[in-house]
Amino acid sequence: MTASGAPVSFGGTDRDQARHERLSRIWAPPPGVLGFFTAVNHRAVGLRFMVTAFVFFLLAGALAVAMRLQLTLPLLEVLSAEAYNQAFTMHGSVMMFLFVVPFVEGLAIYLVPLMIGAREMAFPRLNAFGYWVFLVAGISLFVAYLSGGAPDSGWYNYPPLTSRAFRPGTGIDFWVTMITFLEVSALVAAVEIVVTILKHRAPGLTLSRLPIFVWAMLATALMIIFAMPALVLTSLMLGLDRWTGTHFFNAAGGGDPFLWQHLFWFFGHPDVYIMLLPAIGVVSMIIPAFVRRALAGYTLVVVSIVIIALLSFGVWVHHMYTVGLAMVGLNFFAAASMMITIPSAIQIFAWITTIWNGRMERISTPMLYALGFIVLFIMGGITGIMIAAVPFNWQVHDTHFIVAHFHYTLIGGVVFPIFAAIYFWFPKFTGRMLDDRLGRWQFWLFVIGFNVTFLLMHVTGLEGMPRRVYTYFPGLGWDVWNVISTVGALVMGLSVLILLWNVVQSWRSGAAAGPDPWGAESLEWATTSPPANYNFLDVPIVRSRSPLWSVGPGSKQGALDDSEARPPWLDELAETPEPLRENIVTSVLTAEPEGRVVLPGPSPWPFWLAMALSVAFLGAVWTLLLVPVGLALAFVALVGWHWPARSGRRPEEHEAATEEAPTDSAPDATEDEGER
Amino acid sequence: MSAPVRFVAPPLRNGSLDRQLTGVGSPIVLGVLLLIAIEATLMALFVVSYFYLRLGAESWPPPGVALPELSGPLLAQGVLLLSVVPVWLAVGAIPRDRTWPLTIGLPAGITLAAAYLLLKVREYSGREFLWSSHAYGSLDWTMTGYAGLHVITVLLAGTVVWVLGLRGHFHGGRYTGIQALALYWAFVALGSLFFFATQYLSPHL
Repeated sequence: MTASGAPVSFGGTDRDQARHERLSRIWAPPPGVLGFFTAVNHRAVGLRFMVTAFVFFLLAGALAVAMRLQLTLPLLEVLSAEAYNQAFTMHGSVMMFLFVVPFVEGLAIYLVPLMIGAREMAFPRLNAFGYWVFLVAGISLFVAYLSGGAPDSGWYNYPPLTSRAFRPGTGIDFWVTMITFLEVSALVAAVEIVVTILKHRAPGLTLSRLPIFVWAMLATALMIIFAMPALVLTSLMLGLDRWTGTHFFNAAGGGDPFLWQHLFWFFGHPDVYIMLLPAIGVVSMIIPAFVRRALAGYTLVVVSIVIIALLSFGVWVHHMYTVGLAMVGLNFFAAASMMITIPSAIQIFAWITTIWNGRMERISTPMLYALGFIVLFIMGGITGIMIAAVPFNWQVHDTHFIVAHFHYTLIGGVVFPIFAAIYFWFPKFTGRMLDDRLGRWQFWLFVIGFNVTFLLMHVTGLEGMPRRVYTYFPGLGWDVWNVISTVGALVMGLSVLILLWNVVQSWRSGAAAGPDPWGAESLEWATTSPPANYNFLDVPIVRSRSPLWSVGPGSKQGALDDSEARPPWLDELAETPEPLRENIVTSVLTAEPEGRVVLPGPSPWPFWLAMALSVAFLGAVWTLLLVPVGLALAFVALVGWHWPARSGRRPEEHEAATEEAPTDSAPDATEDEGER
Repeated sequence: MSAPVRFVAPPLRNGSLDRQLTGVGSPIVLGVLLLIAIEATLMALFVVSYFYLRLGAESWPPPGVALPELSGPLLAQGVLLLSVVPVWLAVGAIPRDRTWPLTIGLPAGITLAAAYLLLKVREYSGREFLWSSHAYGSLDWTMTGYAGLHVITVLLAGTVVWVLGLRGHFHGGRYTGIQALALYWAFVALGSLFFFATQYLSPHL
């Protein structure tokens, strides 16, 4: 995972080598099994997020193949009606909550500190805590599924169908508790990402020089902060309705099931852009690297990202056109929904212009995926405009047309960029290249399989084939299309297996990558692959938007070896007298150095806190009495978390690191997430 | 491939970098502000849900339920707001290395917060309806429970900070922990005002 042991040549002096060894020791993740549970390094946590999320992706993909097999021919019984309900509920919930969001969070946790020249994220222990929460929530949902207690009411879980009267088992209880628990993980990661981006950028990395991926993650994290509380609140209400007899969604008791729909989609629509914006960021990093030209219209792209983030909070009702709301309201939401095409189009033209004016020397797999994304995203966008129109929406609501539309936006718009990101940054994660020939095969199979599966669903949808119905009668004109769709799904499945094989093989024995295999422009490529434990030997100082392209003889960025000209704090951060983990703190807008903070080292408390809260959340499914028990355990964990370390408990480095920053190093944030 | 690139350019600022960052310069304080943003969104959505359900109701409160009584809740609210004062005095004093307002002030704040909780328990033990009686009851009990859970959080966190203070952990050079606590405490007290206005004042309108 890290290059701590490998001797690294810095083309520098003995002093550099000594610094390298010392910093490697200070930032080393703890060894052994115990170390696995106490590690807090952002790259370890980021990789764990991505690997775990990818496993969930494979599982949810298998469910999708099962559903397609069931729909191949009329009146098949591959899955029973009940099993089909569970399969589509799990498929949707897992892809949204356990794959896309955690994967991009993991990507950001890994890459953001590297892209902004930091040694670590702002709150390392909070990071580790978020991962354990995610892991427990994901495993619990699957254990419930396999033990017959799966949720079966769709990924948006509408009451009254999900009330105790109609769904008496524990399936919905699991969904409600685990999704709320997961949101805690997403929220702490969001806080962490915002603070890291605003306070730990390298000197000179002003907001106007920030890589687009970092901008996208900043916007995404802020969206999470304002959107996810709606889901937390509404699942809390549903849980209380089911367990304690409250009436939030029970019309007979004065409640209103539409309240669920409003709150859910107030989260749900921003969530689409929470998934899409990081993808836009990924593509905006990959295209410039391959066409050797900085992104055209940088400022406009940033503005369009911000506009999309804002507009996405004003379009939630377009998921509710058919529930019978006033026409005036629908017109407003239709207009707002169509408006989103404007900033989206700005981005598409920015990418096209960049490619047009660039010099494409080679097309490797990441670029293929980026190009595929642009085409499919436009196709998904076009059907998006169609269904933003109320009358058309009424016609195709709950048909396979909608399934086709959102798979174009979510697979074309999000999974393609995620695959692009895997191919592009895998060399940074592992120090090895993914096999490009296998990658091309994988890409073409995926593109063909994807379009064969979903393009035809527009047709079946227009012909009236409803979604979420486990079978259909012959002779409705849908038979051939469904056979072809299923073949496409199998091709997609094969393609994903090839990717898996490529990842496993290349991780073990791929070609060595070197620090910057793509000749890209941003800071993460300025360090070794994989980066040393401490990321950067010297804190980088940034003078341009494309720092790596500005380096060279005669450029202002050029290396400066004259020690007299070095600012003293640069050496202080590289050679602290005490063995402490330190991050530089810079100002929010202009990234001028303001100070430095000592970060905590490895700690068992994030794991314990996650376990304690699991007792509270999972316990709620059986008896509410376990909730106070879990919260009491969480309180113990939090006191331990914040308590100054005693001497002699840990190895010298870690002890010193934690001793310095006990109450200050982790925000009280967790405390209250914990209580929730 | 070549060795990793190094960039060192003329400094943007000379001298040493301070380790004692406070206020919004400190990542911890920024983190707490974002936590407050999360919680404030949640509270706002609670209020929105309250009025959404009220909009659909024929009478609010439901038939047979009296309008909320004001004097008791007003007193409790005042006590909670007052509990913030000693904490903020402690925050003001600590940069000048004066720790006694912390030693004395925090227990005072904690006592007031605990008094708020007792007043609420007393008020709700006499409630004529339960959370399961009707949607009005569900909102009333849940909102108060939510606010109460936050006061318990503040109470526990305040106690931990107080004990740390007694052990000499905080001084003129290290007090972001107290700043974070004070910010969150103020949010809990001020945020509950919105709940108060929604639960107790708005039914009278």
